[in-house]
Amino acid sequence: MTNVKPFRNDAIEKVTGSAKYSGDFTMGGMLHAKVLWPKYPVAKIKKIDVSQAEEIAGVERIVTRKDVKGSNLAAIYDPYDRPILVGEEEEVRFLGDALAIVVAKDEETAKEALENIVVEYEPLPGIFTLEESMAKNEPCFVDEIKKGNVEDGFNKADVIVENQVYFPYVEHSYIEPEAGYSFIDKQGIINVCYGSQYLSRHHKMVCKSLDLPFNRVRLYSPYIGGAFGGKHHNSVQVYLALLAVLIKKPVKMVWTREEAFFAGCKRHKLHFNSKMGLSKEGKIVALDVEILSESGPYIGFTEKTLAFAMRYAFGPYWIDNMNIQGKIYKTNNAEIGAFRGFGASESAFMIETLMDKAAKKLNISPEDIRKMNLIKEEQLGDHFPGAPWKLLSEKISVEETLEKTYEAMGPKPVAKPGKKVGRGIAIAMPCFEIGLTPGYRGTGADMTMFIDGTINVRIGFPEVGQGITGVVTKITSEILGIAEDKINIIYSDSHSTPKAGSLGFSRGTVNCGNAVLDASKKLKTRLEEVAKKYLKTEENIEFKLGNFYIEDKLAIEFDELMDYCYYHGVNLTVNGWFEGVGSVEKHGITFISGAVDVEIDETTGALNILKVVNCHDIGKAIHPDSARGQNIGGTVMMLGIATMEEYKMEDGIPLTPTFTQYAIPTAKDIPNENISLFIENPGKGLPFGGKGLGEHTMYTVGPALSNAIYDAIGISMTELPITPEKILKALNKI
Amino acid sequence: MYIEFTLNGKKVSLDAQPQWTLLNVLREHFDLTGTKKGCETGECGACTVIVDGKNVNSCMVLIGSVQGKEVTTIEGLSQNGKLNPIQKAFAEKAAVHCGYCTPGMIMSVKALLDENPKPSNEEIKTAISGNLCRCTGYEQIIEAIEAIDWEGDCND
Repeated sequence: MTNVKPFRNDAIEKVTGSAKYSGDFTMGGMLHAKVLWPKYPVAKIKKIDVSQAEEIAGVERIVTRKDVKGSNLAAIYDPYDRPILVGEEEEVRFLGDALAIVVAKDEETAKEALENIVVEYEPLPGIFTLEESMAKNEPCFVDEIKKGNVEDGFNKADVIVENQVYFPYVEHSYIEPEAGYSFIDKQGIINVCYGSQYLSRHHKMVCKSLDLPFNRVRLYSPYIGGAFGGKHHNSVQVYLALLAVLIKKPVKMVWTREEAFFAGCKRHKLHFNSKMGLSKEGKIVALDVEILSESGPYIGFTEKTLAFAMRYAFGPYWIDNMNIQGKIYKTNNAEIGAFRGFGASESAFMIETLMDKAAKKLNISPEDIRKMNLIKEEQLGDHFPGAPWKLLSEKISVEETLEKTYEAMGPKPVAKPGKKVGRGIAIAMPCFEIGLTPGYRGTGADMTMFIDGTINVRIGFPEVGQGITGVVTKITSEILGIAEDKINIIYSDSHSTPKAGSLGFSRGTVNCGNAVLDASKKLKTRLEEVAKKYLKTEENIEFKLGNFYIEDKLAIEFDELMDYCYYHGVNLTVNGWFEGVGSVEKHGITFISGAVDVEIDETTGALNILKVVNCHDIGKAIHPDSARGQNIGGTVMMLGIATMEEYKMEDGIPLTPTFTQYAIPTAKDIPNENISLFIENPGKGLPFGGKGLGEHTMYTVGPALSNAIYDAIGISMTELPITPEKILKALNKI
Repeated sequence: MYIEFTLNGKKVSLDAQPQWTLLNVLREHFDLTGTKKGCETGECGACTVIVDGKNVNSCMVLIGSVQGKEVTTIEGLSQNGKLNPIQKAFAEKAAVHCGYCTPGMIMSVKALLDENPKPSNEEIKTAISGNLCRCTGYEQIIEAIEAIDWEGDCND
């Protein structure tokens, strides 16, 4: 194609520094807001005295619980259980419960005022560990999946393998901390500009919690500096809307990195206790899994992530007898948010490490034991009631991805003196969202053509860096034959872009892509119909390469038809819509294999990741550079989680409050080779056959790494992160 | 206090408070918001600028210390709307995802290439190890840097 942009849509603005993020905007007379957070994670608030702070020159106003009309409760999903501001005689339940908001002429003054607010606390005992919560409380949520008869299954088993898997809290660590600003526009509408992954739910959250009409509150997102699930949660948006209502002047709120860490949400802690029974041939006959999840004081995303952990606990395998139990216990630690992988990738780690234990015990190769148990196409619908999978491809292509992965890995490296090397594999069949879940059903894309042939596409999803604007540009250009540089994307605005739902669950390309495909086809059809009418012909007219053709012969110049449209009132705005593939509420599935080669220093426990390969059957890589970027970027994120990251808390206080204590991978921590491979077996009902990808990069690399360590040293390590210290302990060296 | 320095090739001055950081002066006084705020403790590198040829975290530089010095920010790299070779390589090699680390990353690369126009893979990794990126896994960034034929800031 000749009309392809050399760069992604957003690249030029981003490399020149002109791309604007939430904290980069300023307005005349803009004020600055800072939140007063509690000193204790759990306490009764006896008194909040703002009188001294209010006297400080430059302080505009100090907002407390008393100023909040409406329910004062916010949340991403029901129930709305998290207070916006905690007032006198009420209780704070974790460090992210706000007590007051200072608005001042600048940040320095606001900080000074924070220090002069006098709060009287009555510290209360809290619950800070799973064990404590289990001893004192009933679980706040319980779920189970049962199939067949697990007891019978284990009785028939020739071997039994078990593992305990632990995932600690993880911080999303987007480089842009939460920020935003609000103002009231000429029409009296409250505008809040901030980074959001789920604008429609946030719109509801803000309007319900502050008792405001939806059409008087506009939320929108500029460029977002990373999200990874974390920008679903309640951060600055409710505060900023509240301040706009009360102060009626432009106000900006920018969180520090520490605020982003302790008041932002975390990836949940998950504890798995798993047991698998197999026949001596290697066939799985029973699986029993208990998943214990810790939520913070508010439920956040914990139920939903647990549900996905449970619904992927059996991995890509057919198992006749299963018992999967899930329980959530509340603590006073961090609030739990969505995190790339969303529970299911943690289950992938559990089942794939268990498979290698079984393979070793039975002396079967990791490859053979997987192939033997892999679910078959005809079994997909029958796994258990509520099984979330829908095959949109021609076939299950896991084996194809595995073959390609092995080919790229080449021969296993030879260990140097003092070192051990190992190779691990993992396979997965994660879901991606195809528009069918009740919470998200229906995604729109509106498209307007101007008379100069340029196009505006309006989509509800934000650009968080994943490249959705590039995907939308490519689809529009491909269908309409319009050069990519004539296409402009307007995104994520409650007052001007259509419904999108959550930017999560790898749903952008499929849902938004299909809506854009629908809009592009509608616009093409409309242009062709208008051309037929104008030319008074019954012949077939095709709009391509920016002009109108009858069988490759130019029928009419574009400008001439646009003049006609302009003066004769032809509407060149169309509304694209996508509701779902098929008729059953299931999610599409994709196919992945991954492999990792590691080298372990037996003296220091140091882990050197030599090579990683991840092969996805992506259906179609619509934007190949962005797709590769997601794959290798997700791989490094998961390697960070697997080997170095743990957001530690003690008694509700973070022990890793900044990037110094909470280290994420730098350029020096990446694998020697990180290879992204794609197979393209087009999916049915998907835009050009393309499937979801972003979340899926978290599934195989973690267990493949653990299995590589198992291969190298013979010890299955399933408590994350796998640090040199833990390796030395496992080797009985310390 | 009265501060004078060269900012992206132009002499500038301001009346500053001694506790102000270069980062805040760039963003708030000169509206150069390409320099990003990520941690304000020198850990993430998003605020990297070049002072007298060296890449520094501008959040850790008090404004008094740039008196008389030359400061270059991301906005100073492209001239007359034309991209610097580093910017061009980053765009072409898909080294830009969310883009929040990008300006600081590019400034670290410029400091590296000005000193060492043909760095090895290891030298590249070391040079950008103070610039955190959560999206890319660094691979496409390193590929972009390796593709640059550095002859200085020739903008084309």
